Amino acid sequence: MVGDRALSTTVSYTLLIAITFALVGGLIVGTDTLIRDQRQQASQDQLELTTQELSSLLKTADRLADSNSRTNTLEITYGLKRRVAGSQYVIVIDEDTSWSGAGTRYEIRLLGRDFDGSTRTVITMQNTEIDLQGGPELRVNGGPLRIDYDQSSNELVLIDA
Amino acid sequence: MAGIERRDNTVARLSGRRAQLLLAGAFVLAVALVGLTIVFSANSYTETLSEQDNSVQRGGNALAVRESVTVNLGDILARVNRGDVPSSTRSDQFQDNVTVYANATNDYHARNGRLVNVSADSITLDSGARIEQDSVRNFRDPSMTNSDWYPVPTDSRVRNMRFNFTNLPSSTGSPPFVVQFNVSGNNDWKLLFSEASGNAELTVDEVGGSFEATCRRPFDPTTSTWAKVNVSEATFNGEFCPALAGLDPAGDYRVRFENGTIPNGRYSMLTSLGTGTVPSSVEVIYSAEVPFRYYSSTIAYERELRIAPGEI
Repeated sequence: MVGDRALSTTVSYTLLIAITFALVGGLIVGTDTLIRDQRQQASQDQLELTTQELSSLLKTADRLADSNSRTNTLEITYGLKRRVAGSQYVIVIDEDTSWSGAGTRYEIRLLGRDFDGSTRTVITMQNTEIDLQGGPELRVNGGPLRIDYDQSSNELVLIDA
Repeated sequence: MAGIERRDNTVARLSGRRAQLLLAGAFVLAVALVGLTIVFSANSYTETLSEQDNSVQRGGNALAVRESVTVNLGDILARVNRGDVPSSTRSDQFQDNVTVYANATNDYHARNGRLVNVSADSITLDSGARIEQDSVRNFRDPSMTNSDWYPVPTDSRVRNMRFNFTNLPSSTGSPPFVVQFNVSGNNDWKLLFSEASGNAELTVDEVGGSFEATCRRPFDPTTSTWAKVNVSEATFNGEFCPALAGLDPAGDYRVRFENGTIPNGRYSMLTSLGTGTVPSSVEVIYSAEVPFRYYSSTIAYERELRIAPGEI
């Protein structure tokens, strides 16, 4: 009888359920935040990787084309990812006009369309130039890409494959 | 009273069991959520792993094959230009050797799903001349009258340039021996050879430009040691010489020797000029233009390969 004083079964049940829901709710919210951060990080990592692949591809094409007129044909098809973390992205290339060293310098940026992510890298083309198709910068959708060499203008042309 | 106590105890026991059931249910739910998170993470990780491409960067293989073919054809050209091959048969021998090489290369790369074609039937050969002093003497002209003269008197290109010195002018008492590249419309380049304090010195100087560098190697002319310079390979006594690596004439040039009286030794070079222009020379094949094709599932690449190993 002494042990039953100030003891209510209903209150015990209510407290138990409240604590359980609080713990489970906290677990769900924490997991959701964790997954969202991980996905953002994975998206950024994939963008970085794609940027490096693209810059490496352009440098290789530059070396294959050479600076003389002996390259008659050069076409490279490369399967860049269409989507990064389920979202599309766009490739932006513009020329660094302040560069005064040998060759031509370009800035390459990859911008996520549906997510807040971007990367940036700089390459220097020694033998050829990138065709910016008359604009201040070149924009190409992310995905399979084809690089053609235009012998008459000594330029690399980027086309969606 | 005892009955009421027993009833209260029973209620308490049953309440405890219901509470434990709820805890167990919550625990199972928590474990299920954690398991779901692990599944999603593993899925993302697996997807990332599967998309990793560890193969050679596409295009990188075409580069490697191009360089390999260029080097191999250069070796064939060097073999054909050797003195034991009659000059009248050099062109035919080169084409025959390239045909054999082309067939073997084609077969090898076809097994890996690539078309690598070297067209032996469409080769363009440029004849030239080997200028050589194969016995040890000074570096005057062949008539022994001029210490300043042009081994290569007309604008052209030179490859496989080598010098072996048994004696060099002292840097303290004599002007250095000079090999000058007179470049049309651009800066000239000079190689200055001298001897100082037990070392042979080679200075590469861009006249009117910013490049000047020196290499030194131990050299003692009294003990029959040689100072061997391979200008094309940028080596001095077999070791890499950064000064020679910076030699970069921008355009065709004439080659001039200056102060050729004091140094003694041998030299050799190949020029794109004909033997009619360069006296005391031997006809060789200077260079070859060979059509090259590389096709794979991702690359189409065609170009003319210029085979002129060691061209300055």
